Amino acid sequence: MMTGISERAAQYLREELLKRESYTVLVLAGDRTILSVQESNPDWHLAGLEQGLTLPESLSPLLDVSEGAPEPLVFPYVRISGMVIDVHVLQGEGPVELVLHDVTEAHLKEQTLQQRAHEISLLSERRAVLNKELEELNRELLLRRQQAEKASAAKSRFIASMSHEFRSPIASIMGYADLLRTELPDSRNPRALQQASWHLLTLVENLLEQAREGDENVSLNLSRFSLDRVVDDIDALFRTQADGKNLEFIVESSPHGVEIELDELRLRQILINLISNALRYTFAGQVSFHAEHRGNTLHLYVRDTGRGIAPLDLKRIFEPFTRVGEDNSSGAGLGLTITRQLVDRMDGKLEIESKPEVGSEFHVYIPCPRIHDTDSEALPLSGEVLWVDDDQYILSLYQVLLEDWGLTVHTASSVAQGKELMKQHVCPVVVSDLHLTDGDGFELLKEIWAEWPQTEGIIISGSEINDLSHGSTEKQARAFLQKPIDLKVLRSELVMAFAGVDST
Amino acid sequence: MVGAFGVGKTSLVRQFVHQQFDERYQSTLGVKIDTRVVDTGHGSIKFVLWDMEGADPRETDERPLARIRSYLRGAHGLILVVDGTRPTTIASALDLYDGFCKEYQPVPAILLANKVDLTQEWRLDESVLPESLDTFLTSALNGQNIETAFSTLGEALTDP
Repeated sequence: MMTGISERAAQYLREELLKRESYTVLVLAGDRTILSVQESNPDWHLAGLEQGLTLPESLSPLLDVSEGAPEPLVFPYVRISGMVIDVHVLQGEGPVELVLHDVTEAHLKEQTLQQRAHEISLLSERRAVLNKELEELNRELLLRRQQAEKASAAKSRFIASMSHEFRSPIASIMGYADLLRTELPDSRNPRALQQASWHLLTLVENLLEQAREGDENVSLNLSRFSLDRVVDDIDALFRTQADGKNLEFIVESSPHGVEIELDELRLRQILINLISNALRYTFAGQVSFHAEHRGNTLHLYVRDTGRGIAPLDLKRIFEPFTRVGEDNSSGAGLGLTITRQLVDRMDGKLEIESKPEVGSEFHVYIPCPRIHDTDSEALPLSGEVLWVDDDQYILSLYQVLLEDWGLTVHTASSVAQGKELMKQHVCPVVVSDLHLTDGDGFELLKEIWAEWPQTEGIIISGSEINDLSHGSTEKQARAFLQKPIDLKVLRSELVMAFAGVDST
Repeated sequence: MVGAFGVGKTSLVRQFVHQQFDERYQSTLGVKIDTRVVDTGHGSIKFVLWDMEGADPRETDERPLARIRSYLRGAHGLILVVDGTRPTTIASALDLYDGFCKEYQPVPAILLANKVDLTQEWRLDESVLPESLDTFLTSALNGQNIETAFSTLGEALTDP
């Protein structure tokens, strides 16, 4: 009995709703034989549901699970004969009745919506999984990048440290070669030895340069030197190689007798890198090198008749470890990368012109004023020097050199020994290596200054250093000289050091 | 057969009964009833398979069970299905199983970890599956382990 509306209205509604729906009512015997079939609509008929037949297998299981159920059961959306029906099982008093209600249309609508919802849900689940995996990949990538950066930094530190280690023995070789040149002026061998040492030093410097790439704190080690001497050395260094390949090798410089102030080692690196490259890729014709000093600019110019560089390759020749073309040529592929870094560091400019099968031209422009200075070599030297270095070869070498210049040299191999000798001789000038077995050169100078404040100090090292005071607020070292030491610079510094002492 | 939607219940029945596979996903609303007779060690058994609509793994309350309660009544055995590429479907199947055990008499049950053919996407940690349930790694695509799984359940159902 419906509440709120009249019995007449309720009856009307029942009849109207029943007219609109398609349904079948089955009355079943105890053995599930169909006793009667009542259909709402002559157009709607489920196959296999005839009076006198047994309930079909598609519906029978529903009845199985309904046995003993306390109330009428509804099985929504059951598929039968290509249609979808809600099955209502009515039990209790009298025979079992099944009401089969056609919900095919409603099922289709709901199923379509559910299908969409499930598909969206599956896609969003998949997206969440992929996002998670992406995050993990990113984390792993970051970790690997950090590890790679760490490894790269460790490698750079190792290369830098090894390069520094190499400097001392090379300095020793170069120094002794210089001595031999003085003792054997007619022999070409000492000079060849010296030039090969420069080459070796350049290779070591190339490695060091690459290792400290990106380090903004690297400073130039400026010194005064003769451009002619560098050009002559380059000529001698590469002429044999050029002759060996039957190449014409032209070396020119102008004007002669120019003294410039630059980082000599790095200038040599630039030249050695450019010329060795030109010789490597030239198989006939000539390689020429010109150095010109005009105004305040040093112009270096290397031209070859080699195989040239394709326009596309020009963009990548400055990438590290790159060798253009297919060949088995030697070299690490660092030369041009480092040359560009060095030129940049010197505030210079590097230009290339190249045509495949014709040749290449490299122009380097470095700002560099010409120096007019008195020649310190002409000034006499005398006095006592304390030289402290833990490398016995270096000690012996500079003892001989300085004694040749007229100085008396006392040598020590440690801070302790240096202090002891200082007490005995009170030398006005002390030259010390930076790194010593029992301390460093600055510590030694500080202790000496505490007792003999007028002493002039010079620090030498394979490492680079910018702070000559090294924490001392009152006094600082006169000069820092990087190994290998330019003898002219050393002599000049010593002249000035003794002059400084004399003047106070 | 119960479990979350999209785990492959309909495909497993289709493979078991008709030896067919359709890779298109067709969600089930309501129930599909299918049958197959299988010989077991204790004689032949007629499986009347009730392929239920899947539960939503995001629904954690009683709703998934409520929707299929009338179908579960009178079940003689349960086949729980999970998707080995979607670990969230495990909780869904186990929740349904727990709900069933609370409401009805215990019946033999097995667990099918389906889609084992998708090796690249397989994310199932088998250690999280309950040891009390016989578990089979199945593929509705190639039929892997489906016969074995149904035979095992058939034997449990006919065990005198």
